[in-house]
Amino acid sequence: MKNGEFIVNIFRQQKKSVPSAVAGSLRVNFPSATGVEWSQPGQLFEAIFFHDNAEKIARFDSDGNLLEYRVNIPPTDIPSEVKSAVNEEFEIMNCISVFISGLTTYELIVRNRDLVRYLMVIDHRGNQVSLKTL
Amino acid sequence: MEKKDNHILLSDEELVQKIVNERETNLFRILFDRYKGKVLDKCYSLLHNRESAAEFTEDILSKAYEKLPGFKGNSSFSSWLYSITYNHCIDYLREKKKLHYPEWNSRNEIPEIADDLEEDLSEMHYSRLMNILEILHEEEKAMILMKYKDEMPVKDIAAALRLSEGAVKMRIKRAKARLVFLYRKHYGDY
Repeated sequence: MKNGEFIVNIFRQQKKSVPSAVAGSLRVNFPSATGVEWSQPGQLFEAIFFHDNAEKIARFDSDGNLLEYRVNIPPTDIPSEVKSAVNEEFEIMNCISVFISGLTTYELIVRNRDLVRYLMVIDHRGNQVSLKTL
Repeated sequence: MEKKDNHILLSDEELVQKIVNERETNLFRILFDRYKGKVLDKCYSLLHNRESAAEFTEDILSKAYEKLPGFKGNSSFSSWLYSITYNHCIDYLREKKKLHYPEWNSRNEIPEIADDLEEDLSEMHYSRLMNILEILHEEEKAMILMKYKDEMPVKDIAAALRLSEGAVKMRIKRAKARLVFLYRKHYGDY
């Protein structure tokens, strides 16, 4: 491959076929999803797409049941209870909401003044669940 | 000399095994020669400065040598070495150039996200795409290079850039949409 040719391959991905129940479930749960790309981690089906101008990742079983989904949240839309749960020493660099079995948590990448990064998980009430150095 | 020549035929992983387990430290020279140019290219593509790129290459290969006992073979040696390379460069840029992806992303919103990313975009000319790649944020560019040029697993990209796997997947998705948007803006519809 000549230097630079790799970049065209970004858009030459093989289309993955998924069971119709899975494709249908995506359309029902996220009706206006665009740019859908599928992958198959293990026995599950994972779609990454744009929906309501946000990046989302949804996982389904082979029967089309939606098991979990994640939504990228821009800095301006981060819920206040999440912001207030983050100690002042940290700056939020990324925020993703995670929906599993009716529960919402927030997966944050934060950094301190020395630019050390952490993965912080916060529950829907604003309680810090975990903090791990990245 | 003859011994070293025979070793040239060994795979990266076999060389690492001999360096670590049999303490044949001189064999690192083979890995050094094998990867110096590739690491230099990656550093230059992110730093855009030949002197710094050469300096970084020496630092990265020294760092790799020190970390060799920690190489467990869960990914290929090249993937492991490139993780160190990108991590070193991006950490430097984050600190010295004050890279701040969330702020940059807010200032550079994509007004229209195309739905045909996989349709006829394969007709885009690669040299033009490379021009567009240069105007992406350094972290988006690094992710595109890691995923599509070096074919690194998302897990390794996440570790190198100190992000979660979900964040990496979403940022790559956005970077691809931005490539298409900027391509159309600069060159029209192919």
